[in-house]
Amino acid sequence: MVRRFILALIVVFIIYYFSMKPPEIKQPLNFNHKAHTDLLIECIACHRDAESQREAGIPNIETCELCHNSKNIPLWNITSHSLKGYITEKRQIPWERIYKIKDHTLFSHRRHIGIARIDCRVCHGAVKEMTESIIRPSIEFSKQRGMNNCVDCHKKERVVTDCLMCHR
Amino acid sequence: MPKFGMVIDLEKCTACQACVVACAVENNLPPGNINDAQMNRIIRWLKILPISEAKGGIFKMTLIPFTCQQCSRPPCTYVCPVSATYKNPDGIVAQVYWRCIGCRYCVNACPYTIKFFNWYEPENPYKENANPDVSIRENGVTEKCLFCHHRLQRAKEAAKYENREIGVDEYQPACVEACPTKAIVFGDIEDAQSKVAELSHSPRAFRFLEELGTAPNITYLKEIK
Amino acid sequence: MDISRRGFFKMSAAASFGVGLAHSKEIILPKIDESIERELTNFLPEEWIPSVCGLCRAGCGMLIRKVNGKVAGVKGNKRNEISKGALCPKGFAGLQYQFHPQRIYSPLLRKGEGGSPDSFQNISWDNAFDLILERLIKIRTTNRANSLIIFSRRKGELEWSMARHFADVYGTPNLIEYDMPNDWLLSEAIYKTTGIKGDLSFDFSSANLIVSFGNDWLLTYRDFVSANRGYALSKTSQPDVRSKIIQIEPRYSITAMKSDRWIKCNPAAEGMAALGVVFYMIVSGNYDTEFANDYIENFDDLKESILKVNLDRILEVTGISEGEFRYLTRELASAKPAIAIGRRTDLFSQGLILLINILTGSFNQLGGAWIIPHDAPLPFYKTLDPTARSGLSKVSLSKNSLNMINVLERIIEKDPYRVDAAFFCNVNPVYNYPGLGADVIKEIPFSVTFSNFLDETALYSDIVLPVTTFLEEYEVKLNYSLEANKIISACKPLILNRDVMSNTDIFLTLGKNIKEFENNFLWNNSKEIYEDYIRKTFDSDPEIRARYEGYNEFEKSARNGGVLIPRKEIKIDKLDFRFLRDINLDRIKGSRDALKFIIYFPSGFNDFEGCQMPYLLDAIGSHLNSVWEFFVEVNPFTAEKYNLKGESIVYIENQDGKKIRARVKIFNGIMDNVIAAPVGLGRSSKLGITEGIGDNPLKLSPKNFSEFVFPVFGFSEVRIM
Repeated sequence: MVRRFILALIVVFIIYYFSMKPPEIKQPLNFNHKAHTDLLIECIACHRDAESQREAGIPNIETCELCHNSKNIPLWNITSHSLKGYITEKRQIPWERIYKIKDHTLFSHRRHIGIARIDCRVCHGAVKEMTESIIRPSIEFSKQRGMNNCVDCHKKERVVTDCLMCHR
Repeated sequence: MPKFGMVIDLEKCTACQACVVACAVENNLPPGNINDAQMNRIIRWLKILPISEAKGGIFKMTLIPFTCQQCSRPPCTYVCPVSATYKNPDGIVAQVYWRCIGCRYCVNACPYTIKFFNWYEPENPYKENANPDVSIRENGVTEKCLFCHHRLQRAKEAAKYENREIGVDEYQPACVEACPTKAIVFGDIEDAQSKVAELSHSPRAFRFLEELGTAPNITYLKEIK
Repeated sequence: MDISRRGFFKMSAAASFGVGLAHSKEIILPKIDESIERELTNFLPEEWIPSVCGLCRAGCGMLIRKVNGKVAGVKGNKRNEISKGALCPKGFAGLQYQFHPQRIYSPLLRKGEGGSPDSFQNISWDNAFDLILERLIKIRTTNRANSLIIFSRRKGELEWSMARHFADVYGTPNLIEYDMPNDWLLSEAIYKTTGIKGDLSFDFSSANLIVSFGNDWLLTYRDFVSANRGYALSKTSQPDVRSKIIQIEPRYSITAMKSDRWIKCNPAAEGMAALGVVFYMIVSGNYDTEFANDYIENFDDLKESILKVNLDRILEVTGISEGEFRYLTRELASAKPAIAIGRRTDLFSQGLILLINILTGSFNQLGGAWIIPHDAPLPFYKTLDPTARSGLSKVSLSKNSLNMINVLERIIEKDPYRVDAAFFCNVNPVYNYPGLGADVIKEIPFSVTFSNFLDETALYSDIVLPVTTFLEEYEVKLNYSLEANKIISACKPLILNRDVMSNTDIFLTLGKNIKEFENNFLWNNSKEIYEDYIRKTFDSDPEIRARYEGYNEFEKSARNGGVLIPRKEIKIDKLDFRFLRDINLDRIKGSRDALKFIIYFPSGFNDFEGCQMPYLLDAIGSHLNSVWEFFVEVNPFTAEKYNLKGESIVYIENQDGKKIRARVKIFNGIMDNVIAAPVGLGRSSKLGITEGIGDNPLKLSPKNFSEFVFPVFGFSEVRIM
């Protein structure tokens, strides 16, 4: 009886341990954030709605095309084959969404970037140093700490802690 | 901090129920079905309350749009064991669905019986086209009118982003906006200049069950007869 | 199965080369409208797009919220001239209609018995058009083009003018404007007295007195939002003057609740009540003499014949006391402007109510009743071939009558000729006219229904074509404001839906594929027709031309909020009320003690539709704390007499043996010996969660009616089991 109980406990622990680590998500393209930010391209240049809308937005193919077009020959030559394909066919890249907010919470980029002017790094981590596509949510926004991620900062900055402002 | 309140002029109100449907659409209320209806479990945050009287052989009926009275001393909040329902700084009786454990104490404590419990998994065929600002409540939680708080959030955010105050008409709940006769007036009752404050002191004004000490923030104006 | 059927057509066409059917080549479908696709796939994260509601004739302005390209909400458009930022409950529930899980998205062919959803199978659009065109061409080759009948509601100008265009070019005089009984209030009387096809528009907002003869106008007026706004304005626009509202009705309706006095009147006797009022006005001389002499031809003769009526009989039929009549007369004489509003019932009642409007001296002026013309749609250029000309020369089945029942009866009686094919465009006669509607559709060898749902009429027709909703099509709307200003508004598709076609597109495709007159259908798709129509509207009115730079600018403002064209004076000669002299009160039957059954329209159900939208089902019985339920209102005395208990279930049977099942609700607001039921429930069609709830009280409407009792708004004598 005791053995069985311990066994069950171990199983529960293992499940918990693995569930902590968010699963990797496969992206259709390998996007190098570092290569772009090294050219001093701001995050907002591509995630254009980050300041003015609730969602920052995943860039569409038209955004890529602004630089990666056949007229810009030096860049076009080093553009990866698959991206060229998307651009010439005018097809949207089927990016997988990494950051998903639960249905009961309301998160607005506008509040945090447009109004509070918080650096993207505070929540999203060192995206600027990443050379590969993002495959799992940044650890700064960890699942284990849940709402504490928000509340700690809200308390520190003395901004609203009324539940209704974020929960719906 | 403004304190929001509402005045409903029963003289102008024709009980057309545009507000009832507008509220249901705005807040993703479950459409309901025949079983729910038979068990009296249809959820409508704003509904019509019929009041009839027969004085001296003359029958008289008034249909009153009735919603959460947004009490200043809300009895429902005192009984919540988990602080899921409370009076928020804007003067709105809040209900945090994710915090609610579904004990239904508040449903029973509400003297206006205008809080609703979700008995079933949401079965909403219109989920795809629901209002993204409002969540679809899961079963086992209590829900109620929040004065379309998501609209206040939006208005506050937009005003702050543009570095200004919220305009007078910028925040209006769905029912107020919907009313064809403009019978519902909404605004800051502590601002003496506002139309709501003026109307809530009208000689025609009355509030429901005021004697319980709930101090409701919804004022009704009697019909002129 | 589909392919083989289509293949069969091709083969048969090839085999009979030379005598092959004119459409045997590939069906030409409307071209894909690329501009709107580009527009709709290039969306903002969040936007509000103006549109016009198409759920009834009114055409209120809507703003549709789109989040990431997906429709997510609706509100009123403040810039719209009709609704000024508000909507009715039905308008708000519009998205429940649009995204209804039971909407149909493929043409259906009936393979088995009518009336059952299982006997339908999906076919392709090509296949459906093949079958329809085969019939249409066959009918035309036998020179019986007139035996096609098209029923359509005039909800939108574009679809109506296209139906008109198709009917003319095809050669049928039978484009029937399917009317709901309360669509046009006093249209028959106006036609009879002035010769103008039109209606009255009531200026509620500046009237001082509104007397309603049985019309629950707050809920059933042609233009719901305007009527409600007008009510509020009449109460508050002037600081000292509050309008007075008097309601004459057997039932304590919403308007009666809001009225200053509710006068009980026996069912279907509202016209008699109007006769009583006219009598007392003339006897007492309390009317605008100058005005009446100006407007009424042979007024003295009319007075004489009215004074001859038997007053006791009026008091008996209506149940209104002499004192109440005197009160009404006094009020009507002292208040100006005053409105008398009735409903679309029999000709005599309509005529009498029109007469009261003239006697009060507020006819055709501010605060009174305006005449608004029933504008003809702008015609498209067409050339008629001999077949079309001979078809159009035949007499129409409507025979210039505005009454739908007459048309349906003539189809059954094959008077004056047989009907070979019928199109039901967004209309549902099987539900609206129970019994009669189903008989008619069974009588017609080939019927096609254009519908969003597999509704009752669709269940009996041979082919069902899924059509667009108002959010998926181009449309132009025409309506009149309370002050009788003309308002033109327009809308473009907001949602791409390639599975369905608009009525306009269907008629275009039919026309394009019939060789004999394909040159009349040179447009590629409904977008081009829309642009053509907008241009025509722009060119036709000097006022619009003066106000806008070009038709593009005109289109834009019609789309954003509607274009208001100020009221034009309509020259009215004297009104001829000669037909009122034939009133013979002895013809009115009906025993005093019989239990009378009447219907009423709950909020949002004013043209019998609304059951598709679950949110509206709460509105039906909110005055009785009843939701999602069919009931009959019974007076406590009646309940005691018939031994009925509240909340019990009863069957109600009319004289023909038709039965409905309902819950008894004891209600003080209904006269003794009268029971009332809401209309709109009891749908047998496929409508998901609202399917099969309740019963259809229209089943009990009497088969025969006299000129005094209009079937829908009349009463039927019933018994309770």
